[in-house]
Amino acid sequence: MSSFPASAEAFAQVAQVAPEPRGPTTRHAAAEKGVLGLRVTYQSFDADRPWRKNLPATRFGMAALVAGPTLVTTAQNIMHATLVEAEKFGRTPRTPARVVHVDWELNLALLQVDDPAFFADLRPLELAASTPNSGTVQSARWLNQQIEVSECRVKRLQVGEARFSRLRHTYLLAQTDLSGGGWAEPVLQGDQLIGLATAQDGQTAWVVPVEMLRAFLQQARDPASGKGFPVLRLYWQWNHDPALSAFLGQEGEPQGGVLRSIPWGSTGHGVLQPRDILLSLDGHLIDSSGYYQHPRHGRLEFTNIVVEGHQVGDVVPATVLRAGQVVELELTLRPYPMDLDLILVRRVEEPPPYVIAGGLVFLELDGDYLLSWGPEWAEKAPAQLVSLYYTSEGEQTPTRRRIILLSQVLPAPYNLGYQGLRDLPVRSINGRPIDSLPGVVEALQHPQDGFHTVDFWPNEERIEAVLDAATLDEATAEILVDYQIPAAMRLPKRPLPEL
Amino acid sequence: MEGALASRAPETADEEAGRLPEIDRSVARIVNYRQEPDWYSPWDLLPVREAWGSGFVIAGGWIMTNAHVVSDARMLLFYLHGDPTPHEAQVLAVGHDCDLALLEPLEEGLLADHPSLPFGELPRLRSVVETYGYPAGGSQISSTRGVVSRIEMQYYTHPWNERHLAVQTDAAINPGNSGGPVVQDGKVVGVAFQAAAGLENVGFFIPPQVIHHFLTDVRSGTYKGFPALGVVRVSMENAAARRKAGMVPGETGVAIDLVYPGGCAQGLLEVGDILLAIDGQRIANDGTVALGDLRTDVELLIDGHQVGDPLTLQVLHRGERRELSVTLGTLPAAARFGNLYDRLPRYYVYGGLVFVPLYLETMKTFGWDWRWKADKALLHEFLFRPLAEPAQYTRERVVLLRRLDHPVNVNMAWFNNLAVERVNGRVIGSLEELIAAIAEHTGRHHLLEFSNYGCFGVIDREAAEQANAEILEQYGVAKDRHL
Repeated sequence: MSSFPASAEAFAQVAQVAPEPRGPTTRHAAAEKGVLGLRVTYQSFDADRPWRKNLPATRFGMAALVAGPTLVTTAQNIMHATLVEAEKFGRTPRTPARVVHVDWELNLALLQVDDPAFFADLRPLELAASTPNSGTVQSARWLNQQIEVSECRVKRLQVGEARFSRLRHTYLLAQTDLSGGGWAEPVLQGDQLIGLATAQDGQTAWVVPVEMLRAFLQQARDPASGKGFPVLRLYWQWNHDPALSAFLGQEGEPQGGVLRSIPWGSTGHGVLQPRDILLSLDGHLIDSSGYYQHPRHGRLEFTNIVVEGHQVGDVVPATVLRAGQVVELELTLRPYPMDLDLILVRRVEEPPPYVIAGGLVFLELDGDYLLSWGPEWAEKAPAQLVSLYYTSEGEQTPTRRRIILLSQVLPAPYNLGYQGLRDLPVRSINGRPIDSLPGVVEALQHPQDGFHTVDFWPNEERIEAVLDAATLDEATAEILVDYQIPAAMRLPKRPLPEL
Repeated sequence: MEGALASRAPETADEEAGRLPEIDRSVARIVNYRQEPDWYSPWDLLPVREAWGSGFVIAGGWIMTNAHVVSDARMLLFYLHGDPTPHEAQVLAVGHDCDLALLEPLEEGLLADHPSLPFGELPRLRSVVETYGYPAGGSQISSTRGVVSRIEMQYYTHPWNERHLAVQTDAAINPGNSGGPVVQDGKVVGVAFQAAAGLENVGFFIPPQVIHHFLTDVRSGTYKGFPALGVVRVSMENAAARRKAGMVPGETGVAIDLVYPGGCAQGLLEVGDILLAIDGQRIANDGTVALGDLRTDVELLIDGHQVGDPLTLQVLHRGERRELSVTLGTLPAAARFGNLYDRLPRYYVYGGLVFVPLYLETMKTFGWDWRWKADKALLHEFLFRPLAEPAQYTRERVVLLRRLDHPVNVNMAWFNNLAVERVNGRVIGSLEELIAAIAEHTGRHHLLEFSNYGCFGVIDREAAEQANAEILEQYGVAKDRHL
């Protein structure tokens, strides 16, 4: 969750001057006047050499004009943006737009266009009261100067994970004939906005529904109040197996979800226990597949219970079967900040941090680093890193917050013998356990007997690298000059979330 | 024979070129009707395949060839030059670790008239060698000529995890050449065995050192294979690392990064020790030793010994220089990390759950590119967890490979590619331990706890036992186990 300066004030001013046109309508009038294009120039950081940026590139996405007037799009669309321009197709040149609020957790962003004239021939879309769960909706985008409106069949509502975070919320799944969608195409029913397509899987659009849009707009208007959404991050499994439920002391038909682990920092940590059967939450009975009966949308995954109608800090009752006994518990709902994860899924805002010492490049293992092997990174990145990524999910502890890698060695006489080392997870430096880059810097202040000793988690290369302490700074300075690196380190701007 | 050949002048162009007609008579075409086990359905066998290779007659009336030419044989035939009659052979000895094998014709005295080829020395770099064999399954002998372009320790692809000396040549070595002799001055200086994928005109042959090691081992009565010191060594090229280890200027060696439990160095060497010399031969900081005009990995010195031989190590241990003697052994656990041949998979089926040991062969059920395709948690258990917990090397990990669907098991949430950690509370260190943990349990359910992601499952004991015979029958599994 983040906000850009001057959002609330600018918001109010623009709201006063923005016109509310009510002109003649064509067949797709609402879409034509309420759907805008975005041209985004962006420049991401080089995950492998984090001191440099990749070549700038351009992406196109959509945005919905809503009351304000203001533009809503996905956070993904403005990721690493250096220039955002809003486009009214076929009418005027593009107009610069400012990002005023981003919610990375939900993958939504709010943009502002400062020129009031921009809105002259536009009409904000009205937010629907609620998400439909049947019938048809329309997905709209501009393509080659034509508005392209696709009739979409509502398939179902389903709980899924947000793109960049562990937030699980309801999506509207719609069958669409748009190809290559998922770039924030507004989804309408009649003249009303019912969501934004944030992803498309084949011909199925995943639409963030209007309820989440409304919550986002509310938090955008008052960023100070934003605590994020409550998240129930649990590892659980079906309870379909009568043998398993009987083993866990359940009589009769299996009910509830079987919990496997409750990661440190998540809602329920310290309250729920592995092998509890979660029978009900906030009064909703949970079935053996982990679904509950939603009043409007039918069967939905139970993790949605804490998102809909609840705020961070709410206390909700939970019933579990523990060792054959029914136990009533209370869960205080917590957010699950993205940087709570041991391995960050994506580094969306801050440039990647790093530390260079004697040519040894240390960085945090994160999703961006793995993605530097391409979309098929799981089959291309070093096997130990991929294996770490999959086996370390939810494994963070108060003393294990990040996995630090020796990602590469910039070859120099000082580090001769280590120049081939790549992608080794660091266990300790000078005897101090390492789980952060500031920890690396601190440990390097304490050489032992004139040496720095870097110990790695056992790997297929080597388990120790020894460096001369007296000449480390000198060697680092020379290497920075030789390799044209502006600074020896970039540390994380924010401390990790405390609980 | 050797003397007779050397004593007369060459009479033909062939002879002048070093291509002696006698060699043709000593080179055999081998046809192997082989059948490998199916490691995914471990009670089953894959279809029979016809594979071709070459071999040559050596002293004793035996035919030498590659292990990979004769492995998993159901029927082995060989053909002699100019003779269309197939002759049956049996494997007398096989060294899968060095990809060599000896065949014996079933028909006694069959090779009496065929000259046995003598062995020569390691050929020199850039000298010319000639290969003989039956590449691509052809029925006529073929020979190619090339120069020795490189000699160094190489991974042998047949065992996958073994490295020995190998000679690289630009003489064409193609499928079917395998097992054929590489000849120089009328003597065998190697056995053709593998080509380099992705490189052109690069073939490899097994040099005399490795052949002699194999033959000596075979003649001892029981083939024991190449010995291993059982350590992981890393270079000491960094000056600071050498100073920290207490090495004086001019002193060289390699550091010990891991001592395999069950290996012969266990209890003698420690992680962090510096290995300075073996048998008095100084080890360079990059882990190589000089042997004549050859400089290659120190493992070559160990390869010069047989299992049971003593080896002298000079070691720098926490600042103190020591001389140690170690009796060389093998590393039993290493077999799990290499290709397996001539054996049927171990397995146990209970309640339709298929349990197998976690071997390289198990990982290969994900495909040749298992390192990238395998289940990531299983990969962790196979490759990375033992590095961090070396005691794991002494434990035969068991995997719940898959499930034969039946009402007794079909509702289990997790049922494939799971490394078994505990069964009914007992830590599982072998397939036999898993069987015992199941057999000795009298409770209503068996609890299976897996290493992957904290997953677990249960199976109703009585229901499983009642269903066992039915499941085996339904899925065509003749026996519930092979141990």
